[in-house]
Amino acid sequence: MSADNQKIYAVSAIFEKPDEIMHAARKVRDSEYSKFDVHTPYPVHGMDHAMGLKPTKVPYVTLVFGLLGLAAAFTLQTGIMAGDYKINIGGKPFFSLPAFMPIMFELTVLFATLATVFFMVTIFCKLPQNSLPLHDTDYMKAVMRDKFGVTIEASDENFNEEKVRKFLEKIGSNKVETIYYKEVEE
Amino acid sequence: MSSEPIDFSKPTVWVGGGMTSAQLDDAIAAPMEKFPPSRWFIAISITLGMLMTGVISILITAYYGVGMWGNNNPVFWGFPIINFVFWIGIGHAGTLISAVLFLFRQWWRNSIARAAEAMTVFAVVCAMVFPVIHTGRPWLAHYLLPYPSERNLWTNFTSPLEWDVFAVSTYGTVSFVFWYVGLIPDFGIMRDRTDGSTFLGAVKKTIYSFFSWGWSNSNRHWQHYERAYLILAGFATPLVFSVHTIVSFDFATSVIPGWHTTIFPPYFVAGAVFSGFAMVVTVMTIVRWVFHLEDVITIDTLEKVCKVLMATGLMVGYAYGIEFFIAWYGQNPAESFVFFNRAFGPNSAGYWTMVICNVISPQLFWFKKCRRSIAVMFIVAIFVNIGMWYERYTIVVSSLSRDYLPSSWDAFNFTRYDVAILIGSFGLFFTLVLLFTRTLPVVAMAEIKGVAENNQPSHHGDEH
Repeated sequence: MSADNQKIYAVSAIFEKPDEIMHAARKVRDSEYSKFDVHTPYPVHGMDHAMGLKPTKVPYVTLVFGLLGLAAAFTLQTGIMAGDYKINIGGKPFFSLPAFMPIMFELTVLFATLATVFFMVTIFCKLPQNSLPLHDTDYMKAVMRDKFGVTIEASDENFNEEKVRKFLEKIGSNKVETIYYKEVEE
Repeated sequence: MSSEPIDFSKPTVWVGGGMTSAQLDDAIAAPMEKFPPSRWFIAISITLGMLMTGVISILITAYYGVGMWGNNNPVFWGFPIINFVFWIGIGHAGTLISAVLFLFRQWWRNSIARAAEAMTVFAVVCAMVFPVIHTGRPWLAHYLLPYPSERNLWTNFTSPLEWDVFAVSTYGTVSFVFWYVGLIPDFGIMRDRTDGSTFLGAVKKTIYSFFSWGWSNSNRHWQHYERAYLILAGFATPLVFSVHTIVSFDFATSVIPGWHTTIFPPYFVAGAVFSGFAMVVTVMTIVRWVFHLEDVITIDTLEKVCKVLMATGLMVGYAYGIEFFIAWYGQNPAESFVFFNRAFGPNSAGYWTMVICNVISPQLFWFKKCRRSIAVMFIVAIFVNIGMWYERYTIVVSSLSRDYLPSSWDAFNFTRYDVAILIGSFGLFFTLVLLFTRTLPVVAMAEIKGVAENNQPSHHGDEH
């Protein structure tokens, strides 16, 4: 498959069973390679630990934007009801916090969830990623369906195709493939 | 999900027949990949006909005015609010299944969560029709929103009707986002399943690629994804309770007898979950049968749904009872009269329909045989759907038509346009459901693989 203008993106390895991928992930984590990834058709329990991933920072986004939503709702309602547009309803106070609570809650939820999803997709997962060289390979089709895979990327400083292939075979994969990509000439 | 301790050592299998990941993919994707059966075309032509009936009636109302409806003085709130509350309630089961059961680690939810979430989104769409049309001037619906305008007017934030605007629109948005986040990995699966060599295949593949954002099942993504999903579930849970609470405030903050009670928020939430689960049963039994998903949506799962249906039915029955007790115990003549009038007045037929459908019929589920019979659960679910609609009818009509002052009493008679718009909302709902079953995976593929047999590592606990 290796044509002249194609470069190696990564070496991929397929594993059949969840236990095997857990074992493989630990081996790769403890190896000299740091630019690797594990692809599983569904989240495999304990994989974050097996890969040695740091805890995600998504909840901080939720907290910040939740508080922002709370503040926005409070400001909006107070500014309107007690400032810009005072209506006397049966002599009740213009600033009445209990009546503002429902919308403060709703906007907290709205801001927090929308920001969480937006940041999760674009910042944390760096999507959209339709140009990923793994797409449209047999490897990707397999891990989308029912197989488990490990990739070690060529950009890793210790990368050596032969060594990586041997290493992945040694840790139990029976299907190791090199994935190429075409370099776009500017 | 490494931080949450989940016990996978005793795997509960909610996917029947020990299906493998690949078989699950094939079974779930089949309805989207085959030409639809003629049953589907018959069904959608019926629902589209219903929808058109509603649309025409709405146009007639917009032309002639709300005088076409049965709303009168004193029953200013007729069918629109009844239908609004009914549809919002239907939506609640979806969020309950997808969010609350997710937080409680009830993995049997996985096979029905996607369809239930879709129902939530569609039910909110149906519900939103009614506030928009209820004034007879749908083109002025934006007056509900607070925005700086040349009129220098703002909305009244101390009104529960304004809280509704925020609650329902937030609920609709968050439900949609929650649903879509769950769909991202499944769009990825569909993208890689679709053969892009034909023209139609290429179109489909492009659409799936677009909506999947290039999802690659990388665990570096799953890590963030799972946490975001957990956070969404955590927010959707109080949100779903808040929405029907706020809807009940529309009634409870008024001074009308029969409405001005503190029991309304929990009573409405229980009723909403109850009616929503009934709709889940109605839709899921049909989907399961039409698309041969018996091994995916197992009878064990449906049995659990029936148990929830019975439990919430008992809560609703308890609320009916305690309402009467408090009306007597409170010794407020107006309050006592309203409840006497509900059960024995001119609208008593609606009241007893409600009691029979909502309290008596789910009692069948005490028996395991009934909980595991598709026919029984389908019939009971239809009964509950009818009963819950009549509950809102009873609450709205009986209290408004006869309140404090007998000289202002009047009977409520609905017109054919009221009924046609109600039928139209069912048409809208089922048209969307039918389109959904053809275009999106009705079961969350990536999620259900995670709970299928032998799909999680067996040596849980080592290295932890």
